[in-house]
Amino acid sequence: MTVRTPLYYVSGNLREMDSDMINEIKSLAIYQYSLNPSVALSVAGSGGNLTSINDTRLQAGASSTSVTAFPNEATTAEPSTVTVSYERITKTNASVLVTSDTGKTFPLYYTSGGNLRAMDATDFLDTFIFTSIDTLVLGTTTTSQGGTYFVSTSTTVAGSTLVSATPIFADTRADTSLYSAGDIGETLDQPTTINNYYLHRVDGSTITLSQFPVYADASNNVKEFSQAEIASLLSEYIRNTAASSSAGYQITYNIDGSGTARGSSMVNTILNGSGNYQTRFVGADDYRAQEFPDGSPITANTYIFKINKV
Amino acid sequence: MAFTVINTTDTLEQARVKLNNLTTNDFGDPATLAGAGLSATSICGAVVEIAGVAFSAAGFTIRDSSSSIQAIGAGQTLDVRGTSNQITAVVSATDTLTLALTSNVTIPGNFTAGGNITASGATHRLGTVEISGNTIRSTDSSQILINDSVEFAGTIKTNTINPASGTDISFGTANLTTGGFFYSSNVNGFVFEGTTADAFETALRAVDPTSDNAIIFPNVSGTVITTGDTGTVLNTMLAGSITGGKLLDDAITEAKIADDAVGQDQLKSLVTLQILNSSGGVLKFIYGAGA
Repeated sequence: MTVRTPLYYVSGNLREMDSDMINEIKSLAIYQYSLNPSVALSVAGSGGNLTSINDTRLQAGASSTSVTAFPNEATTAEPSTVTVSYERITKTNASVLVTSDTGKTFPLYYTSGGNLRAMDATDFLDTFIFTSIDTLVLGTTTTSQGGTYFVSTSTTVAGSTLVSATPIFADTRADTSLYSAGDIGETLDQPTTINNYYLHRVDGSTITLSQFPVYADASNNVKEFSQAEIASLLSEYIRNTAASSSAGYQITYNIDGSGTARGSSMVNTILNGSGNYQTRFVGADDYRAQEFPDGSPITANTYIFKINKV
Repeated sequence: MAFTVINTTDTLEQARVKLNNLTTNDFGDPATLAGAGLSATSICGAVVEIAGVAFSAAGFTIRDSSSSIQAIGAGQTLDVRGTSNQITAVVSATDTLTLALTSNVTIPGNFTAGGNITASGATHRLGTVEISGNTIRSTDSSQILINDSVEFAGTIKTNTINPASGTDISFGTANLTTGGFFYSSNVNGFVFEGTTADAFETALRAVDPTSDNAIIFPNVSGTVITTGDTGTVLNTMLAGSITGGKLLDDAITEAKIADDAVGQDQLKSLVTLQILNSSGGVLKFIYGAGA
């Protein structure tokens, strides 16, 4: 990896950018990425392509009926587990074309031999893009991660945009308050939602460069990039890299895979009781029994949404 | 016969007697003249009549330019005399009278020669103008004034020419030609009045030379440039190169350097900056002056 130090024009001279200036360019690359992420996640009710995750909860066992006496607990059906699969996130990698290196496409740097030389595409990636990808895949969700995604239990998170009002996961449990002996013959599955988990995209932050790198123009003169020119070049390369890098800088998302957790862990809780045996005398020949969900909530699973580079 | 004298003491009678005797005895009877064939009736008239006859026969008459005449009768001597420093009269045989100028002639009045005047002496003077040999000079002055134009067919040799009046010698519109030099010892040198005779002239002069110098005008028409000129020297007047020492420091401005005129060879302590493409190929050389 060869990181170059781009040059900028100041007071009639060409000067090497300091780290703050280079970081500005990286921030601009990230901002460009945030405007149009090439690894995009969408949410739909089903049919996603990320790992499926399950929400489990207890539901009441089927009620038992006798004409002579209440069915005993042993013969009464036990509460069972309801499993809801969530596969709502779809990841789409855009196909991004980049401007090929004409020999003078990229910023100039000062060589050890004292000359000015244009970066090649590898230099450009090494200097600006790869390190920007490194920043994008951090666990934080500031503007430096603009265009990447995270999970929250809230639909509104400052500095981000809700991808969809459809949660990517819902943690539900049996609502024990809804089960009543007097209503035995109850609907088996009477859940309550403990938490919904939503997908958000981090907003970027506009960057205006304080200094602009220079390049060799068509006449082989030294020329400053305009904000739009360098932004366009950065956009192409960071989007291309994030979507299709073969150098280990492709951004990807997963659940419980490798990478860095993003946002709230999605916890699947479930009641841990063995069944709440209840009876109901309806009439002379109608004795009923049923086991309702009971117990305390425990974590059955924890799903972690992660960002990674591969 | 003595003279008849009438004295102051004579009486009238005495005077009468003397007068009668005079006329009777001395003068004679005029009536006798006719007997002599004379027509004159007086003594004087008879004398004149007789002289005319006598001279026409044996004498002659001399008359000068004022019509004064003298009759020279037979037997009379004509006395011819010269005038001192003027004319000599020499009588010689036979019956020869030679009139000549004296060796030294002094003419109290004017001298007019209708022909040539030739003098073979060594020194001649006209007034105070002396001609001695081939030298003309004034005997009472250091100069001769010729009050008219003078033309010399030959060469005028002199070491000094001064104006007769004022300070200028005018040659009119004539040219001065010399195969030698014009020397001017005056600090003003040559002065040109120009077309307007006024108080302003242009002097051509030299700083006091301390060695032989030659200022040569080239074989070309044009205007001489001086140190007082501004904006006069044209590019076409320059021959060859202007050396750096003749230029003011930092005097050459950007506008005076032609486009594409400065190459790398003109730069001091040349340093080269290359702009390379991403493959290392040279896109451009940028040359600059080093430290």
